[in-house]
Amino acid sequence: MQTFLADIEGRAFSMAQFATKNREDALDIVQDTMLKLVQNYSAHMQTEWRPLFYSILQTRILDWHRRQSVRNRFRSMLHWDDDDTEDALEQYAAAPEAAPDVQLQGMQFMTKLNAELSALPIRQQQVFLLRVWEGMDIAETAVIMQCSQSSVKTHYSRALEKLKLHLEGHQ
Amino acid sequence: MMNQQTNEQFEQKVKSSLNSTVDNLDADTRKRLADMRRQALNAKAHNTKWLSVNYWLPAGALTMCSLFALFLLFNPQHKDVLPVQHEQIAVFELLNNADELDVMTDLDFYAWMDEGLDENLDEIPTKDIEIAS
Repeated sequence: MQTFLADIEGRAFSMAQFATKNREDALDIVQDTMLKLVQNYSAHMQTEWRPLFYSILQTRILDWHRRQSVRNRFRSMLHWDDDDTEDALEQYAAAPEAAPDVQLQGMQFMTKLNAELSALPIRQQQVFLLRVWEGMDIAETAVIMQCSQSSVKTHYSRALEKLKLHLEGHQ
Repeated sequence: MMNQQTNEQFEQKVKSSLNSTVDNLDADTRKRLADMRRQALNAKAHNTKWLSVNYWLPAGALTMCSLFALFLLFNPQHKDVLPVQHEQIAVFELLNNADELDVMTDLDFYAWMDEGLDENLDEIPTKDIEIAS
């Protein structure tokens, strides 16, 4: 379990940060996910940990979005302005050990990609990250996202088209 | 076909870029993630401690002893069966029978009873020796 969590925690944090655009909230989500997985599912087979982990993570992210939308509704009703959200891109340091031009190009692509990923609708973002980054197939993604396989296909193709369109100049 | 190849190249580039973001996470975030991981694993160890046999063994033994003691004290069947000796039963039956009280004053009767008890007591089945409640 220790090795599994150590391997997955960085990617989980990044996914949560794309979704929340807030470092502290992303860390809270990852912590909740780790706790729930360890407490409730550590007795399960090791092959089940990854889908279970991402299932918990996606649920936590969706819960966070629901809470935020309620909070934003109250804010707009009361005309509050709160600038406590962090810029997600500030969290990423420069890639070390690369030629300056390659580093710059990579950084530009990474910066733009992170911004575009964060701008995607949450379901498209989650499907895209699970499929591309985690290499999950459509069926696995559908189970984790608790939706149909056709929904996964739709979310994925929409996300891919948007990202390709917006990152065209950076490829 | 061309489109699929382009998609795969794009996906590959996205994947390597995303991996770079994880590789370049700042030290503070890494430390906090490691702390969270340790906390989660320790919480599990702490939570499962109360489920271990060693934790419940003394409490279980104490409960079993208490239940056994209560069973012995309040079992109605146990209460009605007394460890009565055969001779005592014979005497009790005689005393209980008013018709034979006059026989008890006869010394020859006692001599006869002694002989009879010596011979026959071993033949009395144990299960019959119960006092009617």
